[in-house]
Amino acid sequence: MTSPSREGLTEAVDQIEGVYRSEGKKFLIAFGSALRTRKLYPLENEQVQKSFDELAATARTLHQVDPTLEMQISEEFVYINKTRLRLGLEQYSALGHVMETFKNAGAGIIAVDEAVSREEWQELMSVLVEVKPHEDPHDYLEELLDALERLGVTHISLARAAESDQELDAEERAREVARRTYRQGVAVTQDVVNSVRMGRTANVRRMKRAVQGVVDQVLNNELSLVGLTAIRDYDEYTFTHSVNVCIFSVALGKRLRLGKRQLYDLGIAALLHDVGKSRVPIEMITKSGALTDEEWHVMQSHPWFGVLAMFQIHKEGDVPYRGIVAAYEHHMKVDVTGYPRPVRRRTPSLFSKIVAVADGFDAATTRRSYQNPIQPDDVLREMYTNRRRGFDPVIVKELVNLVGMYPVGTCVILDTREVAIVQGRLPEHDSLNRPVVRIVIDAEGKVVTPHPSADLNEKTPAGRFRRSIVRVADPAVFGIKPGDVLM
Amino acid sequence: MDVTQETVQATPGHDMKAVEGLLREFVKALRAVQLYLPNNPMYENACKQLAKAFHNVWDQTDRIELLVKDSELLWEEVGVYKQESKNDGLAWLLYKDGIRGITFLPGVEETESVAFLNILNQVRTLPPESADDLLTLLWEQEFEFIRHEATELADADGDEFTKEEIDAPDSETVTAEVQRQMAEQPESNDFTTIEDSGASLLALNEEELAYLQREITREYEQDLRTNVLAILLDIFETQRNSSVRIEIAGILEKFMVHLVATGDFGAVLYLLREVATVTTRAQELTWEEKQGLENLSTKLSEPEIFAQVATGLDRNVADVREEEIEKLFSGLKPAVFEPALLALTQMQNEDTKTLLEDALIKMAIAHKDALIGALKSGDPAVLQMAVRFVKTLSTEGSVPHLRRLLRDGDDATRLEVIGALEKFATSEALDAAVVALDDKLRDVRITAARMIGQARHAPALGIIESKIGDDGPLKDADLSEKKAFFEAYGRLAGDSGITRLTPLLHTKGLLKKKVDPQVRACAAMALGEIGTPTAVETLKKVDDDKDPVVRNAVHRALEDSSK
Repeated sequence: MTSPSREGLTEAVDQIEGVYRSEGKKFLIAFGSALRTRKLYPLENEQVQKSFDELAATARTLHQVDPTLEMQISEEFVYINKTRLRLGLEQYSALGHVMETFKNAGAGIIAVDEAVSREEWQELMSVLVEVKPHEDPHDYLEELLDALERLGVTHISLARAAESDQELDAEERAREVARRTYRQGVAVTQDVVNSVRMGRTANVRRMKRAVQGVVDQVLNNELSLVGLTAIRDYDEYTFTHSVNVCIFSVALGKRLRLGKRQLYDLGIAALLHDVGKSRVPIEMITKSGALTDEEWHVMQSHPWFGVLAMFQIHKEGDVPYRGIVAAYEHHMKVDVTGYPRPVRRRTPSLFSKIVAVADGFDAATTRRSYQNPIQPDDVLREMYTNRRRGFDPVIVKELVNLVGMYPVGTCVILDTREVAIVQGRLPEHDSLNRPVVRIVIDAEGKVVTPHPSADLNEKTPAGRFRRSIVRVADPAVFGIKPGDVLM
Repeated sequence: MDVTQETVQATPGHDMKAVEGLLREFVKALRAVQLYLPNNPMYENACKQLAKAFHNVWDQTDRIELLVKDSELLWEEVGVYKQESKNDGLAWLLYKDGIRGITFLPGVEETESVAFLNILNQVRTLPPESADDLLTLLWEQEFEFIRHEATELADADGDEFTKEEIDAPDSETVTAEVQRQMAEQPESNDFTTIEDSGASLLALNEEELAYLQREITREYEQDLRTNVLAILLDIFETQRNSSVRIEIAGILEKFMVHLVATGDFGAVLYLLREVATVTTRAQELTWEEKQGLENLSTKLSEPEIFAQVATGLDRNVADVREEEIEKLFSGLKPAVFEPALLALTQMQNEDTKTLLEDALIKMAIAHKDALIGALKSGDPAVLQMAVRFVKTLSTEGSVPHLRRLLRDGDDATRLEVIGALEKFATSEALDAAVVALDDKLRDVRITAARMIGQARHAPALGIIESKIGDDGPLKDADLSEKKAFFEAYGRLAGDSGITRLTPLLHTKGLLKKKVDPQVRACAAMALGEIGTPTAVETLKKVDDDKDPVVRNAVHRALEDSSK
């Protein structure tokens, strides 16, 4: 049930953002080039003139989309008309120089309107190349603006980055770091699985770095990273699942007061817990529909497949023993009635039990095409109350404390009639039913983009909670994919 | 590494020279750490100078933030360190692993600066395929006074996730749906105590907290390697697939080598014990699968591997029980005999030494060829130990080798050999010992003479006779040697020797040559060995000899001959 106009608008927005990204990069490079060449050579130099031609051309392209071109530069990010550019190595050399200049000038934003002339670009660069570090960037910016005015530059303006934008920056920065950490984890898991399939050793260093990154992120800004566990990439389920289990396990370990090094050990074990699936035929992994008995028997072998796989992909001195134990034990259940059944007497280790809980939660909250959706709160309830599931009750209790009554990714209806997706629980709050949410649909039933965060612990001046959860809802009813919202 | 200075303007208010000086000392200290051990005065001095340089900087500023480029370091946008060669130097060492900024804080000079230097030195020697680099090692350190920034390019790792647009119904439909759901009875969550004010955290009670603490302790006290071995053996037993079992056997072999190299003999012994169990318990083992398991013992018998085992057990840091060591040694293969002998000569721990010796004796009895083979070793220590074993076991077929060693062996070996031949006392051994009568070692000669005399080995008479006399080859020998040869002569020659001995004993008369009293005494002892009435008469003629040495010898000889 989608309105054609909404669909068309969304597609148009995507196209525009695409233009900003591709042309924005060109504009940034051209801007950096013009600045650099102007610094080195006189105005009449051929290279300088060429760089101004390029700069004016890229600006004109962007002006076709919007008459005002706005470039915002923060410490790490560049936005063109509020669209963040994705930058690679080749853009960083341009970016560094431009960033330094803007920082020294005390400016965060440059706005250019479509009537800008070539001469104005030239005057702007002449002013910018003289910019040096100043004791008071605030006053300095004022001086620069006066200079531009005197030179007749009226279609280009500089401004400080707004405070709220700086906050947005900080939040966006945190999310970007989280996304990067997550992506690294997925890439590493992919590398490990492919190494097993191809019979070669894996890049252990990359794995170490990825897990260290997860630990750092969980210790410093858990919310952003835990939020990403709602990503459900069904084509690459094994990889995202392994990363999710790693994140949940480390976050649980943090609640259990494990030290940094112990969290790392746990993270490695969690990341590799399902590596045995690399020895299961791919058709069985990706099968949509229930497995036959024979297929299930093969799938149940993945714990010990994982043990062998870990010896295959590591050199002798690097074998992750805890990873092997967790891979072997994570389906055993606390009373060892699960699988595989050991011959020698065994009590599952703490790390295995943590990984089991994280694995159980993430697997159960992932919707498969042949399964009916299970809401995260239902999953938690089942894990906590049904002891036959074999999870360690103390660790499940801490999982509830970690994710709250409404775990990350849960779709909720608020008493304000808004529809939101739970991002996570802030550790500093004691309440389990007041998480941080991202508002997706407002009280009028309209999609809100970007999806603003709302902390349900927030109160009005009168002391009442601004928002409260009324009930859990099925996100599919509203056309929402929780992972995409939290990405 | 050369350090040159960028020509730049100093930032007002700071002393760039202090920072440059610090980096010069840093580079020197890095070199010192690379070349010397911590107890070397050069190392200590370099670290002291570095600490001093840090103090100089702390007089000017309370942090040093350096921007890292590939061949230089910048402080407040001023170059304070530059290396000439791009791929060598402090800047490159930091840059290549992704460090783009590094900050030092006051306090770093206490301990962290030296720890940092050691990490940099470690990173230098890491192989390309190492599991670590500078970033992973720094992460593990948790420095308090050193911070770093590493490069984090947006597209560095992994693909961006693609988002799909929200496919929501129109706003009227949404609003209606929200109202409908809000009107329904809300669900309850029965695993929390819910009030409208918000459910609070599920607090862990004392028992649960104690349980968690126990679990954490258990996690970190467990013997991980033994645990992993148990897992592998479980899989071996429960999976009947031959390729799986063979794969596991291969893993166990490599793992065992690693355990030996790291000195974890407790785990090695656990493995061997469990393998013995598995071999009997596992169902339907094929020959190949069994062989795979037996390869473990064979592997332990490889010289290099065994040498590590022996060294480790000699130190016995793992405190392995004696019966386990005995079991390990009893599983050794004959191929390890020589290396084991060598290990035996080097062992300090008497208990372990005894256990190994016992095991090797058993091996030598069961595999004589292994011991005989050791008699051909080029290592003198091994030879001597092998000869001792031969002596203990009286190993058949060893005499020809002992004879060869009497000829070609070093002093210590020849001494061992003559001792072994003495114990053998067969005619073959006695024949071999004749060579030793001319050995350059006194003790060898004496032993040879005694054993030949004891055995009355007649073939040696000629040689022995040639040695006795006042000015014969024994002229410069001590009394013990003289005695040994003379006594041997007496036993071998019998009555026919009296003619030769009498002139040596009776020296009266003007024309009689004066004979050394020791020789006269030895002649008396020889006559005592002969013991016939003629010999006794010859002795009685000088029983009142003026020389007390001679007189005592005569009296003793007369006593011995009367027994």
